[in-house]
Amino acid sequence: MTSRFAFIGLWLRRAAVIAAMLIGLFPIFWLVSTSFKPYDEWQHWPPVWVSSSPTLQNYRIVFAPQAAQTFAAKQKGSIDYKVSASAWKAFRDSAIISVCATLLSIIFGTLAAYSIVRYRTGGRNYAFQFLMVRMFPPIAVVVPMLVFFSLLRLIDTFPGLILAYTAFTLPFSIWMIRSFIEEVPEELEGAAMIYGMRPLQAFLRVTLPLIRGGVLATALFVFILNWSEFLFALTLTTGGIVTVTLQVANYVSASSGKLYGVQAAMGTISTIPVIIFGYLIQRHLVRGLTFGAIKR
Amino acid sequence: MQKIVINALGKSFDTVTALDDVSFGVETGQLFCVLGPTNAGKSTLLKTIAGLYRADRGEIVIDGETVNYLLPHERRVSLLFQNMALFPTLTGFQNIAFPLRTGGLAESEIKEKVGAIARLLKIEQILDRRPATFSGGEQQRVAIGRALVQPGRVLMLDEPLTNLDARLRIELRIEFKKLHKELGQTIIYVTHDQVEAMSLSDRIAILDSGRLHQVGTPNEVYHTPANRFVAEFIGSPPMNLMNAELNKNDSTLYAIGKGFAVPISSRHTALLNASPPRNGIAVGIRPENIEVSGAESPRNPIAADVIWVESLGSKSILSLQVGDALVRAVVKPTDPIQKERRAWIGFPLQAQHILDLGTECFVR
Amino acid sequence: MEAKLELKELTKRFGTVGAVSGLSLIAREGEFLSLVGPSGCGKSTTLAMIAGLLQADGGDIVIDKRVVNDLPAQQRGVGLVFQDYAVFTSLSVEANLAFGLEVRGVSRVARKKLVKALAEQLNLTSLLKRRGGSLNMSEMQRVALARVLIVEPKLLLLDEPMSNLDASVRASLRGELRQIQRARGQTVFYVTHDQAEALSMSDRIAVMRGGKLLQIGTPEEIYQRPSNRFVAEFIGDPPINVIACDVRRDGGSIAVDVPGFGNVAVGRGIIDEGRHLIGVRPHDVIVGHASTPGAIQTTVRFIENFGAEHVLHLEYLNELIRATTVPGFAHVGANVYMGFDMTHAHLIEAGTDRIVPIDALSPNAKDRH
Repeated sequence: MTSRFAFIGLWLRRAAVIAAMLIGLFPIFWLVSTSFKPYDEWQHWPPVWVSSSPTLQNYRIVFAPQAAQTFAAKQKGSIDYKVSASAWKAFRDSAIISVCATLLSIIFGTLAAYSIVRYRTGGRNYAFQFLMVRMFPPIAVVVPMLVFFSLLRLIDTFPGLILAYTAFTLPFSIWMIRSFIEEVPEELEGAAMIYGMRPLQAFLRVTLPLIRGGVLATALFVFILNWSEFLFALTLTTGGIVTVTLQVANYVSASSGKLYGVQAAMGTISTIPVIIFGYLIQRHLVRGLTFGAIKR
Repeated sequence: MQKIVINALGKSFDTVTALDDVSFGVETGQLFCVLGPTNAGKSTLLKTIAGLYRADRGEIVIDGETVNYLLPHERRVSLLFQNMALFPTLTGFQNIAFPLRTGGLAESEIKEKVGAIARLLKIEQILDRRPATFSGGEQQRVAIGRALVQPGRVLMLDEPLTNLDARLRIELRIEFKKLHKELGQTIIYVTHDQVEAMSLSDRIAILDSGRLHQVGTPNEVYHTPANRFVAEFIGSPPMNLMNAELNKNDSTLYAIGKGFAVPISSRHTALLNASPPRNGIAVGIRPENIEVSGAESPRNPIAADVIWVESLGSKSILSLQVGDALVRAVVKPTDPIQKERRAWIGFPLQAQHILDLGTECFVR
Repeated sequence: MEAKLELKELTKRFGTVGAVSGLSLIAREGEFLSLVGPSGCGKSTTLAMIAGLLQADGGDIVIDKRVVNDLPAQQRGVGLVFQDYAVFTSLSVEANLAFGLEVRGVSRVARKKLVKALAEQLNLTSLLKRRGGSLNMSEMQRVALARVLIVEPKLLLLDEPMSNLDASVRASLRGELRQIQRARGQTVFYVTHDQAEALSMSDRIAVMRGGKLLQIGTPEEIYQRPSNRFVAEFIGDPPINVIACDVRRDGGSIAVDVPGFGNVAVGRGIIDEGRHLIGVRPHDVIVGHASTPGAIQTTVRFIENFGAEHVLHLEYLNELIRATTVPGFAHVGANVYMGFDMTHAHLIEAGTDRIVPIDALSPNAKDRH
């Protein structure tokens, strides 16, 4: 009797896991698949799972819009689209903004977390208060920010967007890095200080290397947040700076509506930098260095 | 001039007072012990002296100079942490050499000093490994080595033997004494183990909940404790304290408790007459001073039931029921009273202590 | 008395290392048995096997006449208290105590009664409503103990439960634990590295080293009649003095000479002539201010002040001999005379470290202290 229940239970569990996986992976599958579909299959019903006549046209449009237009003109039933700039500019702009904003967020986040943990700056709940700010829906603050930035002449500038992104990811950085610093007993810095180092030196040279993995993981998350950000990119720019997300949104045509295939192609390509970053730092996500040095 | 003087030191964390009006002085070359239960503030005291915490009130004076506003490394003291705090990414050698590196010593000198300490602590063979591979005892010794290699003006040790096996503790206790004699270093040693404190120190300070109860030599705190806390904390088994009422009978003052009546010594009588206690007194007597016998006699007039016997090899401890109170007495391991149910005990006058229950301090 | 727990040739290996080898012992019903030894001697491993947390490689574990080797831990009827106490921090003390009973389906009324009774026995009545996480170490330890005791396990296993407590708290908790144990007739198997704890609390003590059982006996037996050098050195604070000696034979009689002292004792026993060792407890080292026959002059190098007594460290060749004296007997640097009271001394055979029983090892005319 019990074994039958156990059998059913096991397969129910397995089914649940498979379902979760499918739900999670499906959007990615659809994205990649759509990026290779020709125009008529983008909104085809019933849905085309895998294209029977895959094409690179979408990718051509992404990277070499002029050439693509020429090519398209020769095709029958092709689409008419606004020639936007090559996606290379979008990648460049996004890279500059995301990397700078991530660096600033991590640097300030680490220093702030150090102050909060070791010196109890702002009282016991300061880090949490920071985090609460982040809980405002961005759409609620975007108009005031637009006014504010325009007063400061920061609209459609790199410093402007970098500043905005840094401000928005800073609470998250502080929150994450704070928990890593707390794991390292303050006696380690204390020992370093007694034996010759200044306080900040002790932190940077003793504690920071020990939480390297955690800081890098936080950097990765912050980078993802910055890279995929849309709302602020939309409102705080007027066309001079184009991020990857904006570029995707630009793929619309007056006659054909949204160019899903091209958007899918752009989306697929834009995941690559994030994957590379993650791959590069995975070696450094090491734990357990403090074992044996501290008595619990 | 005393090597280090602590004056009315106070330290609080948010609403918790960790140290309250702590004052003491340590002579050069003395081993000064701070003894107290967990959370008494002992670690906080050491960290404040070292400069890891800023004192809220009071002064820390080393070699005549006030160091309150100096950074830790400027105070030139050494601290061994309770949790050792070895640098996990450095080898044993590098850990011990750490204090020397920031001073700009030549590499050969560093090698020599580290080698000497390692030989002393018998850890030469583990110097090239990382702390994660050490046993508990080895970690402890490397941490001690790091604190000793450049002890500075004052060497502070936070419960250095607590994490070790009882056996190793006994061995290292005497090693420590030898080491201290050899180095002539001024040491502040923190522990919760009163046996350690008594055995090692030149002077002891008893700390509880941030306050000092008494500062004195081992003999002083043992034979003339200031209050109940000190009397019950020092000595194993601790001093027996039995509540009693004062009663005058003819010209003699008696302490009458549940199940016993003892005369009060003339010295105490004079003191009690001078300032009469308002809430009654407690009679204090150390277990080794109680006289135990199998028969009633003028010397052993108090009846007691033998509840429990602990035979510790070199001595036996009897737990006796006297009225309401549980009294402990030490007898020789061969004493036949251990097999009996009933005993007769006496409290010699010269070993008597009187505690004023109102002030919780001893009448002296 | 019935054997509550019996270990027969219990063995456990970790790789090639024999953590426990051929351990055999019996714990009787209602007995408090301590297992002592240095770190790594295999005592915790033994406890884990009895509890069912580790599988034995060889031998049998018998509880209440039943071989339990293949029984899972929860069916063996043992209670376990570790060094890091398992108290449910989010539940009240009362709920903690009632937990085991609830799991066994005891009625609410009965639970309340049992909890109340046990709380009184262990001085926990005032803590019943407090949250588990708000207790201090000593209180947590008593709650952990109560939680295990309340289901009346056949066997109570304790693994160094007091290591995290202050020395002063340990001393008082020892007495409480022992009294509870006696009142309830609970069989206890107690593992510790602290010999003083074992001596103070146990009915019998088993001494382990390197995975093997060296000796088992009452505290008096272990202290007064150790079977080998390790037991003699491990048990007793201050530790025993081990001094080189020379043994001369004459038929069945032997004479023991100690360098510097000359002949210290004669007796009858079976041991080869030559260099051996004697063990003399610090209490049996006689120290005086005046010269007596058989005593040698020496200097006091260190004094350990233990309040009720002092331990003098006296120079002897290039070692130190520990001697217990009354407080204030001498100061550091003083010249005193030391001799041995050989009535309780032990003769240790060189090489085997076995303590050789000597028939009537009588001291040569000595002044008693």
